[in-house]
This record gives sequence, C-alpha cells and structure tokens, in this order.
Amino acid sequence: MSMQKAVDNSRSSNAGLSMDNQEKLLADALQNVRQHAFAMKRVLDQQSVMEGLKHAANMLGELRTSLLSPKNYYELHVVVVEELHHLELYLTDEFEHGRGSHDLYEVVQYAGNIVPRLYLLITIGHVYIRANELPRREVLRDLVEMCRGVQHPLRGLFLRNYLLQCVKSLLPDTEEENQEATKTGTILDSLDFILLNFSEMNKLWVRMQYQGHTRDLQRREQERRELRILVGTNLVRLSELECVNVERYKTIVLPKIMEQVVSCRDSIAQEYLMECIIQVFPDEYHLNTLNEFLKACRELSASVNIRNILISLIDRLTAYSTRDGSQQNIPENIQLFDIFSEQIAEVVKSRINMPPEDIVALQSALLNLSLKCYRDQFEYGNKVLENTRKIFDNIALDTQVQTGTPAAKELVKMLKIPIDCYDILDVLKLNHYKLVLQLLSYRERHTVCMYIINSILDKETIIPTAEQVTQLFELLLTLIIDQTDSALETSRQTITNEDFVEEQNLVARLYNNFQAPNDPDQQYHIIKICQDTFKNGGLERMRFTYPPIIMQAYALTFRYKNIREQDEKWEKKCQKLFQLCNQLINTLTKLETNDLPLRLYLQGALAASEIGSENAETIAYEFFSQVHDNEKVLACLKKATKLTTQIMDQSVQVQLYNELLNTYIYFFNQNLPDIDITLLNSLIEKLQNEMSKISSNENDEFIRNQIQKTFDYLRQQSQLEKFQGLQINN
Amino acid sequence: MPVQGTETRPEIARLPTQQISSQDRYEPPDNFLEIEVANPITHGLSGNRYTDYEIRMKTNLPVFRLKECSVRRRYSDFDWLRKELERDSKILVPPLPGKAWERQIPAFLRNNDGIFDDDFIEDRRKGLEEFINKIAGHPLAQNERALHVFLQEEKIDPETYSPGKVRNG
Repeated sequence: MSMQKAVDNSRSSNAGLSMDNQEKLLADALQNVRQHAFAMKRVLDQQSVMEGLKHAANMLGELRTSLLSPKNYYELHVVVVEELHHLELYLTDEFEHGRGSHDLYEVVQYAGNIVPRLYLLITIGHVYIRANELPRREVLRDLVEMCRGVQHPLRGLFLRNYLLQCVKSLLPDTEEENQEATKTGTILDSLDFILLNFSEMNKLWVRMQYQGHTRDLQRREQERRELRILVGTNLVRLSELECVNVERYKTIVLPKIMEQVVSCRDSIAQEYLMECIIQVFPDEYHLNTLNEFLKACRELSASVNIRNILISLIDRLTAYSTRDGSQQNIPENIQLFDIFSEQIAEVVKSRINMPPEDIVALQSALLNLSLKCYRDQFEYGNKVLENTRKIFDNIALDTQVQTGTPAAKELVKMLKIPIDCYDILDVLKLNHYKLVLQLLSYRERHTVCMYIINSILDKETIIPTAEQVTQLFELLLTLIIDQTDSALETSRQTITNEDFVEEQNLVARLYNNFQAPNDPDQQYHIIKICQDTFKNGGLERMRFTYPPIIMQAYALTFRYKNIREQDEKWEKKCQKLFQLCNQLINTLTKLETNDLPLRLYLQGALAASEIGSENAETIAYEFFSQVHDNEKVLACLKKATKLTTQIMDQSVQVQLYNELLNTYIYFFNQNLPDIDITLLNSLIEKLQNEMSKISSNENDEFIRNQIQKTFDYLRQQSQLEKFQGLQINN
Repeated sequence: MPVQGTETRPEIARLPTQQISSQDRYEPPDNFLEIEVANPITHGLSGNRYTDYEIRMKTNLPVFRLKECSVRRRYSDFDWLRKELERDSKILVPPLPGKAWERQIPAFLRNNDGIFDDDFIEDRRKGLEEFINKIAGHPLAQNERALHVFLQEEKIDPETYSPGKVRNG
C-alpha cells in the first residue's frame, strides 16, 4: 500500500527544485506540448474533431504536473493556452459555417483526467455560448462550479484564471429581467460568477502557504506574491462591469469581497486585496463606503501593514477632492476629515504595537488632507498637529524624538507638508506647528528650518509685519541661537565650516523678504525685532546677520527722507536708526575682520551725508570718529590699501584708490599721528598711475570726474602750511 | 448538457454543492507533519559509548496528542520501533540505515572511528530522518501505540509499554 500520500506535500515541492532540474522539466514539457499541438492542428485540418480533442487532451495533460515552480508553470500555461486557441478558432469557424457538432460539451466530460477535462469544457463552453448553442447563463454557472474539481492551489489558480479570461466579453452586463434574460443572464449573474470565482481563487491562493516544508516558507510567500495578479484580476473584472453602480457596490460587491478578505486572516492576501480595492474601484464608490471599508481595516490581521492601506486611501480621496483645482467633488454630507480622524484613532488604539513612525505617517496623510481639502480652515491642520504632539507627550512627556530614527524622519516629512502647500504667512497661522517642531532633535530641526527658509526664498514670499517676523523667528530659533542639544555642532560653528556659512547666509538673505511696503514704522519695528533676536546668536552668527540689518537700516533712512513731508519726526527716527547701527557695528569690531566694520561705518557716513538731516553731520562725524577711535586705524587703512591693490577690475580699483585717498586726507586733517605728507604723496602717485590705465567710457568718465574733484581739492589745500611738501601735478 | 435534460439523464446531473464555512475555507489543512532528526551526541567513554539523536516533531494531525515535542533516541530504539510495526501493523516497513557491522570490528583493524565517525553519524542521521518521516506519515502506522511512544514519550519504558492501537490523540 502506498505510504506516500500524506507525505507528498513535503516531498513533491522538493523534488525538481534545483534550477537545472526545473529548466529541463520545463523544456521537456514545452516540447511535449508542441508535439501534441502539432498533431492536433494536423487532424483538425482534416476535419477530425474527435481526434483533435484527443490530442488537445494530451497536450493539456502537461498542465497536470506538480513539479514545476509557479514561474515555470506560468510559462507552460501561456504556451498551452496559445495552442488551445487554435482549437477554439476551429470550432468557432465550424459553427459559423453551420457544421458545428452539438454534443461536444458532453463529450469532453469523458476525458480521463480532470485538468484536461475542465480546460476543454471551458473552451467548448464559451464557443457554444458565442454560437448560441447553449444558454449563456447556465453554462457560465456550470463552468465556475465545475472548476471546484481542481483543488491543487497552483493548478486551480491557473485554471480559474483561464476561465475568467475566456468569458471576459461574455459576462452579461444588463439590467433587463425578461424572457431573454433568464437565458442570457443579468448583471446579478455576473456578480455571482465573479464573486464565486474570486472566493475560490483566494482560498487556493491562501492554501499555497501550507504546501511544503516550513523551511521553504519565505520562498513560498514570494511565489504567492508573484501570483497575486491572478486573484486581483477578478476585482478588475468587477470594476469593468457597467451595471455595477454605487448602490450595488455598496450592498453586494464590497461586502462579499470583504467577507473573504477579512475571514481569510492571511496577511499577504489582506494587504494586497485592500490595496487592490482602493486602486481598482472609482473614488466615488470609496466615498460612499468609507465606514464599511474602514471597519474592515480594523478587523484585519495584526501583522498587516495597515498604515499603507489607509494612507493609500486618504491620498486617493485627497487627490480626488482637489481634482480640476476645485474642492467641490466631495458631497457636503461626507466629512472626510472627521471620518478619517476618528478611524485613525480607532486603528491606533486597536493596534498597540504600532510603531510611532507609522502613527506619524498616518497623521501626515491626514494633515495633507486637511491642508488640501480644507484649505482656508486652519483649525483642521492645527488639530492634526496638536494630536501628533499629544501622541508623543503620551509616550514620554517633554522628551525629544531621537535623531535619525524612522519616527524622526516621518516627523520631518510631516512638517514639510504645510511648507509645500502654503506660503509661510499661512503656515504661521498653524500655531501648533511649533509644537511638533519642538519634538525633534537638533539635526532634524535644523533640516526643517533650512527647508522653511529655502521655501520662503524660492517662493519669494514677502513678510510684511513685525509680528509675523517674530513668529517666524520662533520657528527658526534652531539656526539663530545656540541650542542646548547641539554641543557637538556648536563647536563647529565657525566660518571655516562650509555648512555653517551656507546656513547663516541663508538666514541673512531672509532680510530681503522682510518688507513692510508703505509703512516705514513697521519696517523699523521689524529691524528692532531682528536686532533683539540676533543679538543672542553669538559673534560668529552676527558676522552674517548684522550686516543686512545695518544695510536695511540705512535704506530705511532714505525712505524716511522721502516721506519727510508726511512725517515730522523723520529726522529723529533716522537718528535712532543710525544709533542702532552704531551699536551693531561696534559689536562687530570684536571680530577679527577689520574691514567689515570699517566698510559699514563708511556706508553709514555716506548715508548720513546723503540724507542731509539736521544732525547728519554729527552722525557722519561720529561714524568717522568711531573709526578714528579704533586704535588700529592706521592698520585698518593699510589693510584697506593692500586689499585695493588686489582688486582685478581696473575701474573699481581706481575708484577705491580715490576713496582711500579721501579717507587719508580726512585723517590727515584730523591730525592723526602717522599719517603724513609722504603717505599722501605715495597714494597720489599711485592714483595718477592707475588713472591712465582706465578706459574713457561713460562709467569711467564719472570716476575720472570724482578723481579730478579730489585733485582739485588737494591743489586748493596745497597752499596751506599743513600741506607743505604735497606733490600734486596736473 | 449541464442542467438541461438531466431528468432523463441523471448520470450527467450535477451534484449539489455545499457552502463551506469560512473557517474550513481558510484554515491550515490538518496534514502538517514535520520531523527532524538532529543534534547527534555521543555519550560515555571508551568501551561504553553510544550515539543518540534529537527527534523534533511538529504536527497538527489530530491523531497525535502533542503538537510539538522533542525526545532523544538511539539506533536501537529505531530498531525496536521497526520490529513493533512489522509485527503489528499491516504496512511494509521501510528499511533502516545499516547496522554497519564492519565499523564495529576491533579498532586496531580499521582506520576510522567506527560508528562514532562524524561522516558516518551524519549519513545515519539522514537515513533515520527519512525513515521516521515515511513511517509517521502513514495512517496505519499512526494507529500503532509504538509510534506514539517512540515520538512523544520521554523514555521508551519496557515496563509500562504494551502494544496496542491508538484512535485519537
């Protein structure tokens, strides 16, 4: 007596598994198929139907094998089906010419083995339906039931797939209930057909899990995944039926599908099929069955990755609602946000081991939905942000999310969403945004802040009020002042660190976007805010952040000058601005770059002199004297001279020499020690030499004029005793 | 024809189909049986050595009482099982891997470690694994108490053992 039966499961999948063996098995099988097919075609040419069927049955016998891997079985199947097509064409042709045999449907049922028997039955069946030989409804019913005869997972799946393909265009898709309908069938019959086929195929597909030794489990699971489309095709077919409407989907189709998906408790099947449903059926259907779908989600097996399913659905509906730019596509009574918000909470509650990054990903999808579907209702977005913060507070209050973890990555992704959707002014209305930002460690906060700044600069958003500037700085604090959790980073925050330089340059560039048009007082406010904020950033940062403030302040004095008719306090305001700049530049002098403060003072002096306000002179004097007070004035001037010699551009260089000379003259007049006639003479000579090198175009004409003025002045002064020894020629 | 004319031709009528419950539909089938023979350990010293193996079993067949178990058995235990089954059951019991007499001749006459040689133990292990899987999968063998004692009792105790049949685990 055979001892093999119960052990076959373990043994047969091992036999023939080696690569070479598989190749050979497939090659042999294919050769047999071709031989039988050839014989079949030859006898059909001679009109011998019965002989043809015999050869076809032999050919189909190759599909009885247990030895091929699913991939190879598929290849064999493809070739067999191709050859079987000839039989189908032959029979169809016979019927078209009135020569069809009427008893084939019964005859093929005498085939000895079930696999060939059923393939033949399906083939004959659909030819007969097309030829009106047999009533469609009954044959379809018969075929889908008869396929039960093959319970082997792999063979059964391919057989039922063949069935589905064959009847593709035959499934009744009409409503009518009339005499004819009892023969042809209605949409309800099609639904029964496909749903039955689907449930049987799902059963076989899940059963594959248990075939073979436990050590091969991973390979089997991979093979199952490769075959998933066979099962999914049933759902696609359902979605293609025109008579399926929202009502039928809700009452018949979805419940039946869900029944199988939930009860099978197989995570591979559940993950795939839920995704499939979302992708295959129209969004309108999903909108009307949200509760049912989400309820089923909660009942899925614990190891199913529910996050991706939910996110897939949310994203799809978000896209649907904003299609064509309108937000009208969602009917009033479906409150998407509330529904998903609730469901996500339920899911998270029921899955206690859900990792935090998954929870965040869900919240991100919800945030995306809020910002896109409820664009001007900030309370939705705010709510999501608040909830996210709460989740982490519940895990560990006031604790940062560790850097580099998946949860941290998801939080960064989440925080980028509002930045992408809105401009910064609207983002600032999400006042819970910073709650989530605070959760992150230094590195991630840094990333988000950089992202924010880049977005502002790219979108060229103007930030017009001091209040908004304040709120923005609150978010960007990580880049503005030393952070308590960035010990390692702080040590590297000097100008030798490229990243630091890049970062501070970006912060500095932000100033260009702080513009209060038509409101200079607001602009002044902004400048004050900037000063208050940046003074805490440390010298290394001030190097970058102070100069723009100062330049903006100078620019503002010009604005005040322009409105002097309307604002009687304009001069006082300018004075305050200059005082502010004085303070700031003073601080900068502590840095080692001597020329920076110098340049800024000079700019200030220039501005003051142009403004011509009441105390402009005093201010200008003060600025110059600030420079003067600096004990290193001479060194400063020498350095300036040295720098000027290095300038490449001739006209710029000449211009600078001129300015230098003027400065020297000034200090000479101030009786600064060490600045004597000799120095002046050497500079004059230098200038005269360089002057000859510049061209005579318009720009340079202006420069020449300036230099002439200097020389004229010198000639004037050369009469004075002080200027004895001055060498100034024409 | 499928449904037409079956009144006159009952032999081609279709059998009624029963709906199967979703439990039966998707539950793992009750035919899972895996036995591993592993971990050979040679015990004792010099003249009194013997090798035994771990017999690890996993199953969901209803006939077995324990769904997971692990015992240690030596070659002579396998031999005992074989004799019990040959006597009492109706199956054709497969052969065991050989007794290897040539390895049990005096040590100075051979150039290997006899039956404690690693390669030999490995070959024997494979043979024993094949043997026990074939046996345990056979429904008629599953009815013999000897098999259950062999697989699931910690020791094969001649005092308490008596041959008999097992119906349900």
